Amino acid sequence: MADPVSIIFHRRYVYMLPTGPGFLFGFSTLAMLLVATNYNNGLAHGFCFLLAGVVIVSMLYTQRNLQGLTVSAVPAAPVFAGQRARFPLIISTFDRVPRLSLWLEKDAHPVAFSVQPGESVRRDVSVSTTRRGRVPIPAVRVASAYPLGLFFAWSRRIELARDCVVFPEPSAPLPFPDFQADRPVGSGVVRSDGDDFQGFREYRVGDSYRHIHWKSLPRTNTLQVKTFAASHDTECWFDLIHTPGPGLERQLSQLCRWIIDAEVQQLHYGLRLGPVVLAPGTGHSHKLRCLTLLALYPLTD
Amino acid sequence: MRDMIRSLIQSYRALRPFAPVAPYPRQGDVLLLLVATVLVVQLHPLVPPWWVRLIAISLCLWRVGIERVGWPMPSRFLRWALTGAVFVIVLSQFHGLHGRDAGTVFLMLLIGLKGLEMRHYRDVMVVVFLVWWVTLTGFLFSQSPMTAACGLLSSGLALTALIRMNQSSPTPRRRVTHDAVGMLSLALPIMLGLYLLFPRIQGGLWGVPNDPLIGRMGLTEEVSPGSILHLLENDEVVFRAQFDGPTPPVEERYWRALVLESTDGRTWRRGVLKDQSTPLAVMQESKPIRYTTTFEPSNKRWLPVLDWPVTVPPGTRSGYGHVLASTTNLLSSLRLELTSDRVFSTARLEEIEKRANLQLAIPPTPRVKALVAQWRSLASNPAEVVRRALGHFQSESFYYSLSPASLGDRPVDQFMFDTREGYCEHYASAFTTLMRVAGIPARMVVGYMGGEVNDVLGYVVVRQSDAHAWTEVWLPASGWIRVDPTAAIAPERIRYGIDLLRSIDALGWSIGDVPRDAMLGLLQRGHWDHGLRWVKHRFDAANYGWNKWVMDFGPEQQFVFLRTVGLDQFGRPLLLLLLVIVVGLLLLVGQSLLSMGRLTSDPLQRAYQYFLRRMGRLGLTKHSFEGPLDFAERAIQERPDCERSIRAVTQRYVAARYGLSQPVSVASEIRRLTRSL
Repeated sequence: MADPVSIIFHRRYVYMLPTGPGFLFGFSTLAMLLVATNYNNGLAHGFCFLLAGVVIVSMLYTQRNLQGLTVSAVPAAPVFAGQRARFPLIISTFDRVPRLSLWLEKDAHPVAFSVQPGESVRRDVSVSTTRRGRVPIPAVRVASAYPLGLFFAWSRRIELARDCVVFPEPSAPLPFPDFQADRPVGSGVVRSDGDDFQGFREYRVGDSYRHIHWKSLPRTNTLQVKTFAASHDTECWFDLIHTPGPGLERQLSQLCRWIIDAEVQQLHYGLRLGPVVLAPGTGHSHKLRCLTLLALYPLTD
Repeated sequence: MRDMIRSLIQSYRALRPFAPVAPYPRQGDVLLLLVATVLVVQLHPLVPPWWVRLIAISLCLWRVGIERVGWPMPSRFLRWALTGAVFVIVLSQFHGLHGRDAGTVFLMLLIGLKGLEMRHYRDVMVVVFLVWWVTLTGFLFSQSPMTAACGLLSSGLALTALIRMNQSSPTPRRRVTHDAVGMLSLALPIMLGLYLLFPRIQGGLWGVPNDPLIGRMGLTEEVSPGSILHLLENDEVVFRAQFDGPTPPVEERYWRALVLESTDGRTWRRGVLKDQSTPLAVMQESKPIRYTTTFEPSNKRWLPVLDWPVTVPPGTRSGYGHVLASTTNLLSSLRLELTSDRVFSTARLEEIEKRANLQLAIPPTPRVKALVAQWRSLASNPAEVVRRALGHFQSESFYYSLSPASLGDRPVDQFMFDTREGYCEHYASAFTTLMRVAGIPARMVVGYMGGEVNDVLGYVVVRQSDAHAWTEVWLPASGWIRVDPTAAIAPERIRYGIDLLRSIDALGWSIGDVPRDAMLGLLQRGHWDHGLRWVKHRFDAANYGWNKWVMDFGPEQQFVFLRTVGLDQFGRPLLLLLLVIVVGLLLLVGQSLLSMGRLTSDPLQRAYQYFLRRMGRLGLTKHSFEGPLDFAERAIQERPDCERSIRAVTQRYVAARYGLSQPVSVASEIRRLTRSL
């Protein structure tokens, strides 16, 4: 069975040890008991036992501070290799006890946080990435020393079924390959301002101002853009075989750079990675699909 | 060894996943801790040299100035100089840091220094521990309920500061109080278990200091006219006695402390016989009276016990005249289980004892001789002489007075024929002398008489003002018997106690001559007196309970407690095991109490449960191994007509549970969709 994406801390998931001050407290209480015994002092005995009782009970509070916490992972945004992958964790509690002074391992901002009843807190776990592929969410632990700082409790490692897609690191800009040199099906530069008028669509960031249909603006109150159907010979294809190397990773990095540039220039681009062919298209989701293909292309050793 | 410790520390660090950054103490926490520090120093029962409190509190106030006014932090050099100065002062004044007084003063100064310089989390921890330590040293000086309350206040404040500092973000004060009170109330049963069951060890591991605080008034080893009278206004408790059976009536509650047989005519003291002990022969039809006495600290050794003691408990020895004494001075209170018996026969009189008890320092005057000769001529045996002498005190006009005239160099003669007024020691002294003149061995006994029965717990509390003196005479038929001439002159003293005598005296009446109606009026006290008595008795009962369960609860008392609950057969290891079990059970109870507050209030979960119940009514139940999506697929196959609702609910639930949408709004949406099923 696959790992869950959400986990609730059961009592058995929580471990505890005394902190440094906790050990100091233990020695100090023993010494107090010795003094009380030496002076045959009932009140001093009672005081020692009261302190010991409070600290023993504080263990229950420390455990309760973690027990019942819910940690779930939401999908992480993909990153390029070399960037830090950030996994958002949602930490929430559904009972009436606020959880104070919690610490998350590998926290992007390592500060203590608290979770109020019925509230969700988002903490990002970040790991550095070096190569493309899938980076699993790191196993992290939640810890707390509340209320007295004499005991330190932490949870079992949480391994959730979430990973982050790491795209290849884009290489330095290079001019697009010569599409004319290789045209098994036919590829070319999109001539966006020369071909057949196709219709209107809504303005998107990056559209050329020259394509905005200003006349319709007062009527529709939205910016409309004229689109032109690109003919087959104006599609551009990025092919792994025709990408300069050396080495697969360099090639993939180069492809990555071209896809980013092509998307910026609103080209109509397709991708061919050996047997895997992605038909030409444009737009953000097309770019992500292409980059994910690059990221998950089998590694060569 | 060092390597071993280092590897231990390393493996301990490896166990812990990571060390969180210690919280930086906030200003509010520091100020709260400073309040606790000033309180613990100021409310400490030790009366140290005047500069100790001054230095400790000024150091703390300096820190308050740093926090509130913005004074600069003292430089490191200044801090070191201050620390060095404190060391030098304490070392020169107390010749070391050892011992209770020096140690306490040192801790007080240290807490001031540490309070001034605390910066980091660790420093604050140390100050909290020091507050607890200074509180503990306070209990070594006084174990009164007041000291306990003051200690609880300051150490509780320190605990609160510690909790506050360990909170990541400032939390509502209600939350802090809630947690502190909750922890204390769960800790109390654990403390009680530890207190009662943790095996106590007899103290004195490295010596207990001589306590100069105890230099109390009380009975002295020498009795002369007026030496008991000055205790009249002294309401200090001498001891409290709890009887196993019914409490004996007041006329029989004579508590003997000292037997004085040597006299110089005025002053009575213990003579050569004082270290000889004479056992009592208990008769067959004995009626033993068992009782437990708690003696207050007195720095003396003798122990007032009920007439006549027949046991010698461990830690005590018996002296001449059937009196008990502790083997050490009573520096702290002492609890003893004692037995007395009224049916007895003393041993026969040895020659040396007889001589000592017939000794006269001043030859009797002719008037006294004539009086005694008259009694002897009329009586056929010594017992008859004693009766006649008592009759003489009753028939002639003798008065019991709390302000008698002073006596000259022939005290017995003057008292019998001229002044004729006196307090119990005058009568006992005169009667003993007269008996000796008559040839009957007689001796003076001092101790206490009566005592007040507590309305609440039924024990007898005896105060210094109950001090009394009486006579014992030796008769061939019965041995030593008690004769109290005061009872013949002022029966009120015996029957109603010293309080009534005081009020009679305050009204200016002469004791022994009070009209019956006036006496009844005095005995029927007003509502105010009743109320006062009610409060006084409850207060005293609380004090008695406190002494019994706190101040005197040492190894012996623990054994008594364990015997009453039937655990006295347990050895120490077994007792410790029992303790661990008890504490473990209490922790389990605490844990279940704490988790009672964690009933689910997840609105999303409840909404999805509602959806599942509705599906169940349609004949579709989710298996425990099924996820929400799998269940939705199966449900759609069974009920294609509900496809839209099922999909919508499942999609929203999964998105809210595992995504970023707000659970609360989604929950109501799921409920709405479910209703439309």
